Amino acid sequence: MFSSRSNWQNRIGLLVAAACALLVISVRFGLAFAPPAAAATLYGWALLLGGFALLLGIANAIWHHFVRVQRGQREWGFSLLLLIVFALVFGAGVSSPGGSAAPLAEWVFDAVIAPGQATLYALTGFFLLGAAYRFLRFNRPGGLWILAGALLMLLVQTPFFYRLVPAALVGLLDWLLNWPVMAAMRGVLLGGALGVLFISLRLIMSGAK
Amino acid sequence: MATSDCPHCGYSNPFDAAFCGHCGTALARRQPPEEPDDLPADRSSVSAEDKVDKPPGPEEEKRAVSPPNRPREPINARTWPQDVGEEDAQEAEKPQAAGVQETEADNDEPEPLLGGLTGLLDLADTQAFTPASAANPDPVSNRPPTLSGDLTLDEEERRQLRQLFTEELPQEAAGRLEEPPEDRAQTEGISRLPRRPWLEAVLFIGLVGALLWGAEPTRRGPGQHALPGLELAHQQLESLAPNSLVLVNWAYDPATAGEMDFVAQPVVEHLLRKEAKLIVISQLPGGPAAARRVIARAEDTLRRPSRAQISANQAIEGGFLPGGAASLPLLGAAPAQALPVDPRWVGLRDRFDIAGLADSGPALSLVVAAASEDVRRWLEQVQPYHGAPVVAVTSAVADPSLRPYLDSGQLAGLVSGWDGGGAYIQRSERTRSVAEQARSSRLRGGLNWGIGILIAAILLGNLVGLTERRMP
Repeated sequence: MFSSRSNWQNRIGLLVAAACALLVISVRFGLAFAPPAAAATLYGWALLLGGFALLLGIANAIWHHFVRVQRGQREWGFSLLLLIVFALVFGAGVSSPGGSAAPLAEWVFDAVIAPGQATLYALTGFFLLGAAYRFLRFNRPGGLWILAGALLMLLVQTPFFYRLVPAALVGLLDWLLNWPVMAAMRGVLLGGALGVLFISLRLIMSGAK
Repeated sequence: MATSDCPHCGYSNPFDAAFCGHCGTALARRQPPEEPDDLPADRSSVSAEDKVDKPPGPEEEKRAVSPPNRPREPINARTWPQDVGEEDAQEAEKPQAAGVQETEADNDEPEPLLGGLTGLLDLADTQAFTPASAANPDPVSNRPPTLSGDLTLDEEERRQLRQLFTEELPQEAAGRLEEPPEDRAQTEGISRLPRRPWLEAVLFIGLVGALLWGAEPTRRGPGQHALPGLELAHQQLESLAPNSLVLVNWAYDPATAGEMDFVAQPVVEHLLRKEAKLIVISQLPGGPAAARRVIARAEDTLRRPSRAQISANQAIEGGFLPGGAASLPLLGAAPAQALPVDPRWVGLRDRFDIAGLADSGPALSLVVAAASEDVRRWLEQVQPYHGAPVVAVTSAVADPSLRPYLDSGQLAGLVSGWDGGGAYIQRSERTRSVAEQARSSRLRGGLNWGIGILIAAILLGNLVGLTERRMP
């Protein structure tokens, strides 16, 4: 976790990070001495680093599963399956002039990725149902208000129930969303932004230690 | 049940536990507290009730040393034997197992408290310093001898000191230590006031007021519930000139496509109908493919005979943009440089469009996102650079988080949720095809059933909670 570099190396790293931060902040504030092209170059480097990190992650995953297959570790069959599918999709994308829009890649997307992602995401509905069954109860502390708010919101935002709900109740929900919920949301946004700012400063400043 | 107190934190563990359940210290296996030799032979058969009822004799009073005063602890933290007699009675009920012989043998060689990296503190080996306690380990009835002339603390006091240094004080107790008794009584008196009912009454009055205010037809107006940003979004798209460059950030993948496709497609159709030029990028690996499908469906819809013909190649697929939030500002500062498109691989017309993006920036930014964070990032990292108006197309969940940006004007329009997509189709004054109507009907039916089941589960949970509460 902790850096084993020497103190002066840490300080150089801190100076580079601080210079980059100063440059980007100056460009954002429109200060004259900060050339926007330099900030754009830094952003481009970040883009390159992101792409390289992605490739590194892919290479690491392949190597990890290759070693698992080579050593015959537990459930190595799944690792082998992953490597085969990776090779197929990668080969289809590289060999076809369509690239990622190659027919095989498209088929994998439509038949495997899209249904798989949708299925996993749909599972959250069951977790939501279980949580609502166990915790949305009026005899918990403050539970009556939470329960009333959740039920009202569900009723108003459901096409079938929406027609049954009186207009005054819809107005109440609009008022709730536009005033108290909005006030809380803005407070959360501002507080979160300030928190991120100070944590970033703290991280940068503690980098020299 | 026989327990063995941890020498590190004092937690009462089962006697046969190898490690402390509270701090993880390796527990030395010791002999369970057993009857002293001077007790009568039939003492083990005396029940605990008898011991409670009978007053203790002088010898028993000597042994019945209650634990010293300790700070109040959590209920589940540890248990102290209230009375030695009670403890003895429990021990009497426990058969003297053969394992005791093993523990005696183990106690001949004192073990260190920590073996390896099992704790954070470098602990002293108290067993090595207390041979007497190893021979007769009952810390209550037999106090260990003093270790040296300087260290005059017994094992119990040292354990308390360790506990004091390793535990945090309970906040309630710590807070009350600071206030004098009169103030504490006053504070308790204030806290006993019906504060919650007051709060709930205020909240209730506010809600009733809002209910009455919402019932006024003049103030509520038609369609207030139906998304205030929708009309703004429609106006923004309607004002686009032909061949305007629209930078589209496609920030959802197939996981949320069930809802998002329904919202995104009418907006994309509107853009295509206005003959805008879409440059689509995504920061999700599955984003470009999801965008390709929605745009293809929108093109198919508009190519129907009754619709206006769209020109070819109205969308440039920018592809996947790695780097997350760190690379987003490049789209604002130098969008043509950020696009993961090699100009040599695209047609001549697209090259001109990309060059136009570099010169004058986009006429409009469209963020199609399932989560509000993506819209927020765009507003913070990209929009300040080129200043193009931003229209967001989001899921219903993201809508409340984005309303402040809409109210402040940073968002030029907001379309969210299935009802937003349906309202946008109505606003665009186009009729749906049979397939679209069937799909919409299926989605609405699923939504109705899903939320109906959720409401039923909530009601059932409350009913079960009521039943459990009334059961003895």
